[in-house]
Amino acid sequence: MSQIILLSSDNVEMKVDKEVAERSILIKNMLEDVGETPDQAIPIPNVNEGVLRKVIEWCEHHRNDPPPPADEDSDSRKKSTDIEEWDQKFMQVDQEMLFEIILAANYLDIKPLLDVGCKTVANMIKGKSPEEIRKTFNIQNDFTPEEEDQIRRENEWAEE
Amino acid sequence: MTTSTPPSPPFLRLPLELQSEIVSYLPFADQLSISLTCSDLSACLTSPQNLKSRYSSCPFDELSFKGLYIYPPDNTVPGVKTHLLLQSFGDLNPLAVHPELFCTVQSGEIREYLYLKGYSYFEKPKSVEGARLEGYTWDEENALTTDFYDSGRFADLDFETIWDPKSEEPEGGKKTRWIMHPHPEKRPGAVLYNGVIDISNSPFLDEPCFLYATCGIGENAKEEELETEFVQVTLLDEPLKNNNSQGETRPQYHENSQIKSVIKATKDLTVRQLLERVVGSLYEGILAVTGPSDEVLNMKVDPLYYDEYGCHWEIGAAALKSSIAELQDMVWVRVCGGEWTEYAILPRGLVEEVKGIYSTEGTENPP
Repeated sequence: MSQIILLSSDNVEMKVDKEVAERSILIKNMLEDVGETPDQAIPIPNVNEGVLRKVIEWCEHHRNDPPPPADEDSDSRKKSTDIEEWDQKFMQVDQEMLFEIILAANYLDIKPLLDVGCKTVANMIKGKSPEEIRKTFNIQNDFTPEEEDQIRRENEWAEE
Repeated sequence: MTTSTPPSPPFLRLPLELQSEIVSYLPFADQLSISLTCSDLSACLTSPQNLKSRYSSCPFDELSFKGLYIYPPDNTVPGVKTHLLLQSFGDLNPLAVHPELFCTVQSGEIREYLYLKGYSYFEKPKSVEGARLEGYTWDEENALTTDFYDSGRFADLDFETIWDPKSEEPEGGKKTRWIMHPHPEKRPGAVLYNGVIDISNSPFLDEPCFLYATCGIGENAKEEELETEFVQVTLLDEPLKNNNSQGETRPQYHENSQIKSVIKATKDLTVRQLLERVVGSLYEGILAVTGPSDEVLNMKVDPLYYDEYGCHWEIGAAALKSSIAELQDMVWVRVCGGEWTEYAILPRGLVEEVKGIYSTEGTENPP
């Protein structure tokens, strides 16, 4: 089986089965454009070694998964936040890594991995109050009292 | 020496389209709660355009959106509109869907309703006949065996719920039939109460319990805030021990048929025990209870923590259950905690019991 070399943003080379790397649509298209398996490393400038290893780990595990439907309408379908057990464990990482994986999946165009990442974060949000959500993600309330007043004024008509 | 700006939280480093992608996995109500306060939400919901402009992916196309009207017309609380909100809490799982049904009440009749279909357990109301609004609710994920939606009273409105286990079952779920109608003995007035009692599965109990939601107004009437609190009410087998730590508390509960004995037992409890018998939620404690006759009852309740579901305060479960069941008088309760103060309505019976034990001091007018 042919292999290719991926080069992380911090210049670490990783040899990967072509089939595994092609879980990334970005890489798959790139390889198709080139027309042959390149000898040189393919740079992945937005993904560092640690994250790239995680992404490859996920692709290895899901190498035989069927491709997702191309015409899936993400807005109209009723989304489920169910996550496979293996993926749940895979996503048990710190928030920094979790969001880096999401960014990497987005950049590399690995939709199923992106879905798993988004579902994981969505599950962290579900049922929480705005304040709890802010606490979970260390987000400061950036509304000033004036802005909150403004929001209320905008909705004032509804109180009439 | 250079100073570096701390990195922004990882979530905020995601591009907006990815944030939106994450949000798209959330139930509708959670999508709303991310950026809207409760008062904003109620205002927002009165305008489909307003809502749709904020949440373009929300499934509003099939909505029969109606405005929310002020009722009663001579409402003595400035700026406070009267509306009726039903929320389905499903199995009380934090991941559950929170669909909503808004009803408009005018002159004691349910005039119109607002139904949010997206991800909703509620079916469109079957009929709107004068003062009656009838419909079904069902849980699409879990077959509810004791699903029960009840209560919610606005001025002279009252509604009952009928659980009909033999009703037709939609895909995978069991229907619950509910009917709302004006309460014949309730006088119109500035009663702000907004809630739902839900006997369903709780995240920390294996058996059914009640969910009691109140809606009060902010201390500053000019703010015209409507805020909702959700109080988990659990029927207890015996008084909980004072448990204000992170320890796990799994109260026992009674079947409905045993409630009466619980009420009797409650009378022998201290206020603290009484307060510990109904699970409250979310806040540091109750500092004062204000009755309609200007009494102020000072009390403080340590929060209870149930696993990861937040902290709870407790107030006589049986008394609350009893009052709600018979739709007895509710009285204003001022709830204070930290920087906030708001009002809720609790059953008179509960407050009376508490008053009998706690000394009163000060004067506080209910809103």
